[in-house]
Amino acid sequence: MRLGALGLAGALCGLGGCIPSNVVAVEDRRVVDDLGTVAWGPVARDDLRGLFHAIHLDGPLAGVLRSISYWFDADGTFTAAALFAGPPPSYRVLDGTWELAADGRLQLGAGAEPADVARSDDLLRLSGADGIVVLQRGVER
Amino acid sequence: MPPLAGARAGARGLGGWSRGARRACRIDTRDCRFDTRSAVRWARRAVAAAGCGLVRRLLPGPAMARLLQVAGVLALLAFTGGGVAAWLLTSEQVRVTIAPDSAGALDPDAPIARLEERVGVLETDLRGLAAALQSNLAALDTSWQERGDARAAPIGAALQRVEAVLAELRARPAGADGALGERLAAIERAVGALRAQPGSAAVAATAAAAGAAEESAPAVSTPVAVESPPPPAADVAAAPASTAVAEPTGGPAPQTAGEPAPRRASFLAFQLPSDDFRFDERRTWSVIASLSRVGFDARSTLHDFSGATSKLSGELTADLAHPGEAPTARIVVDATGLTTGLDDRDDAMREHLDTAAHRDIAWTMTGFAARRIDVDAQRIEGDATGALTIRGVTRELTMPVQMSIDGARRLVIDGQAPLRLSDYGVPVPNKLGVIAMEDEVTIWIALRARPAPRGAASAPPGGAR
Repeated sequence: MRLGALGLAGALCGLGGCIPSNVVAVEDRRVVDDLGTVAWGPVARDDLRGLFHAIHLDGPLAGVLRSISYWFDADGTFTAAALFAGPPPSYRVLDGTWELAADGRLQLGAGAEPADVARSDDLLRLSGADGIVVLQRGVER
Repeated sequence: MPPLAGARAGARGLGGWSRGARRACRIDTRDCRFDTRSAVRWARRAVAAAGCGLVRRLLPGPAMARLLQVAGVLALLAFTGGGVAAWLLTSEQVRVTIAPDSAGALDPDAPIARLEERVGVLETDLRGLAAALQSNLAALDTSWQERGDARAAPIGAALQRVEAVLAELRARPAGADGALGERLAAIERAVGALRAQPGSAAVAATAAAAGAAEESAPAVSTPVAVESPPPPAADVAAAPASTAVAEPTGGPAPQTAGEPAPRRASFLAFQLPSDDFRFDERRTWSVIASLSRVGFDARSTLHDFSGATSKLSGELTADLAHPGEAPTARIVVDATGLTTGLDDRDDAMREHLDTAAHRDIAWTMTGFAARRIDVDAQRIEGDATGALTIRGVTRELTMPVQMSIDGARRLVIDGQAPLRLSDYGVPVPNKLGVIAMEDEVTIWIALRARPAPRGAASAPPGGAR
């Protein structure tokens, strides 16, 4: 009887040993944006064409924007929709022309400051004085 | 008709004309009445008489010649006298009027009239502008006065608290604690800055933070760090006069509650409202579920494990520079979302937590005791006390937390605290007495929250972060 109990305990211990500990380290508790490890590169004009949705907002603009999407057309025009925090939250849309300068800066519309733009795979990063927006190429449905 | 007969008939015709002319040249002075028609008629006769005189001169006879001379002189005199008489009769009945020679001629007075009209319009516009300006200035004055009044109350309260703390510290024995002198000096500096610039919200916040920290510090042996009170020059972000200047460069701008002020187009092409975030402003923060996680760490006989979930929601309302002043917070976790990495263990956990009947784990903060407030670095450390409800059982829980503002102006909250499952009626898992989980677990939070729009309830987390 004792041997049976010991055997059962041993089996349970062995079974338990097969299950590794998975305690989350303190430094890993936060949800981490993986964008910090992305290698950004220069952008060509063709990289900008198409549909993009924001997946990351950073800086002061994150306090007033919830989301933003762009459609860059090949003819140099674009349309965009931004979801403002409000109150109440509301979408605003605008159209304009876009131009990628020789220095790699993207001009959206006539009155806007140029944005520093970089690309990595299907990601596009626009940055300026108001913060950083990372866009991901969207799927046209 | 033969030529000779024609000549005779011509001669008879000339003779007849001559006789008629002679009869017409008889001058009748009785017809010389001084009227226009008579003058004309008389002139005709004079001319005829002159013609007759010419004829008569061709004719012989000194009497006739004399008569014709007299008649000619009389005709001239009569003609001149008739003209003078006609002028005298009609001069009083004639009015001389100089009229424009065409309808399109320029009126010399027209440009002046137009100028006067324009000046009148400008005067009207100027009066309207002056009235609007006066109205706006009045509204602005009222607004500033209200804002000043609203700020004066907390500043005054903070000043009183600081002075009370000063008095208390002065009453203590000098040199009892080495940190006492430093703290006293820091508080005195804060009070001096506060008195020097009573309108500076940042200085007031620093002084008030010092006061709040003093309140939260139970004894001198546990000093509260109030790091680097901001110099007056650093207060431009909060100073009303400076905000308008700083606004074009992206700084904060005056903003009506619930009405974001428009500004220049950003690099996104949209005009972004100014985000006048202030650390010393009471504001509501909405937890961003996609960037937040809560969980627990548990120990068992064989292995330790963690459970975590991002299925949560929550809000925090506080003045971060004065976190002890009536903060409110509530975090609700969907217990069904907790996962440990093993499906069987997750099922057992949900069974022990009785998620079917008690789906939510909720924590409601009731107070915050700050240990460290760094206004410059925008960091807070302290103990958050609240009521934690697990499996329908509510117990008070105090959790040490750290709060800070990240680069995206989000509030980052980290904290952890131990608790006993048995206190909340949660059965402690135990398999055959061999594999047993410890009663005490560590619960932790790693939250990110964004400032909710002023005057609005928190909105659900969006897709973009």
